[in-house]
Amino acid sequence: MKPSVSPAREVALLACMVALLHVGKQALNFLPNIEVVTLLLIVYTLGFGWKRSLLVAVAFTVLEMTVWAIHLWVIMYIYIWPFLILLTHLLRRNRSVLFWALFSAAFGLFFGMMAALPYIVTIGLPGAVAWWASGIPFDLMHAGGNFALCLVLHRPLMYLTDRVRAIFHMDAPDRGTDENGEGGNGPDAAKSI
Amino acid sequence: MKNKKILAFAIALVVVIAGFIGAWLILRDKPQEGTKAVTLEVVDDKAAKTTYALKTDAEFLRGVMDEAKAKGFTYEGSESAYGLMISHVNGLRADYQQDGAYWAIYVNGAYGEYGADSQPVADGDTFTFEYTKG
Repeated sequence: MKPSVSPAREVALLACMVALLHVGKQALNFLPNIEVVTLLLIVYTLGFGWKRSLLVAVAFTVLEMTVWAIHLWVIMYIYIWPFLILLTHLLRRNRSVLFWALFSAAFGLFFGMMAALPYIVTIGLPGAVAWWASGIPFDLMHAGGNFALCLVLHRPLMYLTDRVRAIFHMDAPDRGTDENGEGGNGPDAAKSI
Repeated sequence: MKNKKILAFAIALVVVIAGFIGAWLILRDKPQEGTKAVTLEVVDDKAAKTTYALKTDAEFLRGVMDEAKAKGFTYEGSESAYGLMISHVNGLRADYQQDGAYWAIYVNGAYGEYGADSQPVADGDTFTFEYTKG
């Protein structure tokens, strides 16, 4: 019989995913540009699929708006997190923890550049470039933090998504096999550095 | 093959990071130099002169004195109804009550008519703090 998850369990799971994003972000607020949102959205996409992750990203953005009010920073969330989910989905065949750590670092590095896009409209291109350039040290910290967190937590979190899928009787998202033929969607799909 | 791709990704990321650092060094806001070129001179009790050249946007002499601290100039004083009463310049005390001396301010060679808080600063001005007895 094909595994399926009831709508109630689906909603409960999505709510937990959003809550984890928000609490994780709040918990690390005191550390400039060190965040778990990137890692969690990568894991969500690989473990639960891009559609669920996209719903979670939208709900997370709405939650941030209610907490912090609507302003430019929150508007940037509307495109940044879906972009991360899309990229993750396109690269989902990769199994290497090191690959995902580098990917996460690259996302953190370019975060400021992506965040500067609305400023092109509000203050013009030169102003947006200046705004981005002034934040480069923070982007470097962001890259370093993302790399370290992903290197340490990617595998344990992916294991947890396997466990959650088993509990919720969920299909695994299609990750195919990597170019070495490793992977597949089974619970003991090889994950290597 | 997979490891080579990951290695290439890592090398590319390092190159991009280096590029970002370079961009930051080039594009970041640099301290603005002032538009007025002024000179601060200190003549001590032994008639030795120390000179400080500055670029400033300060409106009054006291602002110039504060900016000159970056070049080693120091001063101390007390606030009064007439503004700053300078007692020490570069660590040398000239307290009229105790030493019978004071710090005279000259502006472009002429005896200053204003205190440091109200002496205007113009491009090309030379301000001289001279240890004066009597």
